[in-house]
Amino acid sequence: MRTAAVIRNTFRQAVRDRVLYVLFFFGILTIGSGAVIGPLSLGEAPKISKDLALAAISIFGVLTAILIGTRLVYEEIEKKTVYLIVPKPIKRWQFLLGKYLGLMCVLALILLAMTVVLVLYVYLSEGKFQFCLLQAVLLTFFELAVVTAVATFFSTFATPVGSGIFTFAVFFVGHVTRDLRALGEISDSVAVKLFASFAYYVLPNLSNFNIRGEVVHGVSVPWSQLVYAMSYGLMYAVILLVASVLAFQRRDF
Amino acid sequence: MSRDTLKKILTGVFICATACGVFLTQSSLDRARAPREAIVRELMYFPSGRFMSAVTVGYDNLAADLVWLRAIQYYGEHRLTDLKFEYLGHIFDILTTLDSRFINAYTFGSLLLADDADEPDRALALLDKGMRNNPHDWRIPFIKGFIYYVFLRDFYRAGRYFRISSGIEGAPDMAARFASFAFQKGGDRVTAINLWSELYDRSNNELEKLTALRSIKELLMEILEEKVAEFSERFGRSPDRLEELVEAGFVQRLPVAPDGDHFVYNAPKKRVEPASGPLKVED
Repeated sequence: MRTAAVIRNTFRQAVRDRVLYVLFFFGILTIGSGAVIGPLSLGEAPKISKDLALAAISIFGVLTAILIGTRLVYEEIEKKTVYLIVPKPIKRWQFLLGKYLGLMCVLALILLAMTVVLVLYVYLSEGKFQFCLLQAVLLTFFELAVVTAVATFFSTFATPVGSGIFTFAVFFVGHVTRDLRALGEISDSVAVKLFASFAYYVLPNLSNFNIRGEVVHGVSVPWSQLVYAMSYGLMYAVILLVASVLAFQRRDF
Repeated sequence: MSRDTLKKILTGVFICATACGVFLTQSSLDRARAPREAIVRELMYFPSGRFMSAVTVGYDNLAADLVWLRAIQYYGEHRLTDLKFEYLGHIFDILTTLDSRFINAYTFGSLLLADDADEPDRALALLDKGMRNNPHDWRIPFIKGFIYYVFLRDFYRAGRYFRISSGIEGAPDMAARFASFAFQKGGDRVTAINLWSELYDRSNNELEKLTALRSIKELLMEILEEKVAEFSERFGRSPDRLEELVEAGFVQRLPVAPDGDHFVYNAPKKRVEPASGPLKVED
């Protein structure tokens, strides 16, 4: 119940944020821009529109997670509202979990709205509904769960700018960990091999959540792969949230 | 004139003068930057596909779409100017590294490479990459057979690739038909016309359709000119109209291009031309 109260409060706080509306507006605009680019693409309009829409959902979701997630805890400390919460009968982990889940609810709402636009757009332009597009959006949601957990972790001890930079760096590296491992495999140096393996398993492997290429080309993705990716995302987010709680508990309020 | 009116006029003049200054400065900047920007545009194709794939942080399909749009632009620019397609192979290599399932990039890219860029070896290499990445797609070996048949005149290999294509699930009957044509009637222009016609009918890419249409018209004109030569040899004069070829029994009927265009005989120039006018470079 206490966590639910924090979730509700965080949700209300986030939906009042103007940044959210700006990002949402640009997300919808990008999805719609497929209609303009399509005629220039020599018969590739359906592919390009879907690529653009799925990328827009992911990019604007990640931006929302970073821009709002990095301010989650910091603003409570900066505005000193955390001092009003700490004496209340709520544990710190409940507070942090509530903040995280509140933002995830906002992200779910944004993704849902953009997905409705995407599905309608595809249905109107192609006359059919493509279920596999929803699989890509589902995994994007789990990717956002990890990115938001990273942002929450950094926001417990760093400023929003610092957290934003760190989270973006993790997002970038998270997409090249496979290349890092491949680099390690071809390297003669044992140190490089070890570092590459360490980075591959320790950093979040965000390419696990990217099946946009497959679904756009109509390649079926087995449910087992989706379940593995979702489980990976869930576990990684839990680890980061535990680390965030530990960092948050060390802070002196 | 009151002081206020004078102030308003002066402000208006100042704004107009400054706006002119902005326009002139921008024009000068555009002129100064144009040559360098042209080089930058060309250099944009230099990074390798693997590098691009790493820096696109998971949005490689979107990056491939952007490269596809740039590829069309690049092709269009050079097709209308110098007819040099130096980076075309490299662009399609990047494109297919970013999105290895982009079948039209392999098929359309290889046709442009074989036809416009006159680089059939590069076209075949692109198709080999496509076959490695998409072994279950019949279109790639089919286009490989097409290139062997139409551009390289290697009918045995053409037949082999048509046969490979016909064995893949989803391949239409025409793949097996072309395989037997290639093995039996290598070099037959009618088969080449049929091949181009299949491409014309199936493609939803306007440039590909134009290329196919141009080739079909060229082949039909070649056949008709041969018939005109036979007519001249028998009657000791050139025909005034192509209909005379039908009347004399050289052809059963006059061919019509897929776009509905007919052919006429240009007697003074002694050549067959499409009724819509001679083929131009941009066709």
